[in-house]
Amino acid sequence: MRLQDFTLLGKKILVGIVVTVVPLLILLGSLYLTRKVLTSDGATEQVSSPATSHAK
Amino acid sequence: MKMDAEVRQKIISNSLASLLIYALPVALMLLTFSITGQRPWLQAAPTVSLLRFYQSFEHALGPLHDYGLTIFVVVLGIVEFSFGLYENRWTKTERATDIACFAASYIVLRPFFTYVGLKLLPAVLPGLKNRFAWVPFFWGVLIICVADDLTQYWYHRLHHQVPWLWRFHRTHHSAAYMGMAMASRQNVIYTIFFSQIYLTAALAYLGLGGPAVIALVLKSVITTLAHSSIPWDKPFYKYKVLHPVAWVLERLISTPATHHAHHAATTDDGIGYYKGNFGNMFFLWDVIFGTAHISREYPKSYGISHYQGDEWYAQLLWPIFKSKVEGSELAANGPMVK
Repeated sequence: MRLQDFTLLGKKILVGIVVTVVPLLILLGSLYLTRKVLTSDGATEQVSSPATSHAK
Repeated sequence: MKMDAEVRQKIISNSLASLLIYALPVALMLLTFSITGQRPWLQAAPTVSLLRFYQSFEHALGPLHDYGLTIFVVVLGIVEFSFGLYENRWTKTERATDIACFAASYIVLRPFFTYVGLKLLPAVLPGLKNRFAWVPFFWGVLIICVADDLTQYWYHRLHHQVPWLWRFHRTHHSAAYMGMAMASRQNVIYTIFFSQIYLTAALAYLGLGGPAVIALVLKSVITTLAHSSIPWDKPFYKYKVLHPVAWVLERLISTPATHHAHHAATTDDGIGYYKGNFGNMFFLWDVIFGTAHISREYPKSYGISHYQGDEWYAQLLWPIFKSKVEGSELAANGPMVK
């Protein structure tokens, strides 16, 4: 193997890392946000529930 | 050799669109949860029946994933040989290349991927094990199918469209035949850096292990059958009553007709299309990104027109070992793309 082969391998590995990491970050972020958004949505409901029952 | 400006532009615009496609299954899941009020993470642990459902699936499909698919490939390979579908093109060099690649995938690659899954992921993603185990099974399968296969589409497409990456993928295209042996005929360095394997392993580590098994079994069966020399899709094109099914099938998944076109030796006949049809499990990516070519016919010749039978070790391990074939892309002073 020559120096240019090592350079080529390095570039190839880098491409592989980008192609792996970008979708992984998108999925991690979107799954985290799904839970976060719907949990805060649920928390609002819990807070508003007693007020609604009090009004009755 | 430089990349064509138009190709580069298409890669950029298509990859940006892909970012949305990756998030689409999760967005649909979020929408469903919003409508139904479902909050699966509020369950402390999967219910007993759900757990049993997962376990039964893994129990049933685990062995299939472990050794069942190998048996499947070997049996179909025997069928191919019995019908003489390789004809006389399986020469000594090609036999050695196919067998070395098949053996390497079991002796080197599988243990390596297992090691990465068990040792590397806990170090890279500490404390995140089973973090997303709450994702319902159906959504998990959809997320993995899209993520794994779209990633492989990109990995594959880049190795065709980026000139300096081509030689890592050349081995898969050098054979003048199609068949079971083709599915594992790859340069080791191409396979060892398969992005989708690390992505799916990470998602399994994060809690989507059960769905990953289903998705990978499904994918293995579809990709193996797409490489097969048995044209199982032919009846769908032959009988008019099946044409609507064919229309959907050939756009959704890789079939022998569309994938064989990708392995054709020429594009001149209007059937072969090695400049596209990059999809592995799903052909849908090619349809979406404009890299699809559907002719419902099979190429007359396969492989690379200028291929002269590089040694098995060069095909398996280039650039560690070089080909002695003068002027070959795998030779020490060979061209990047011939």
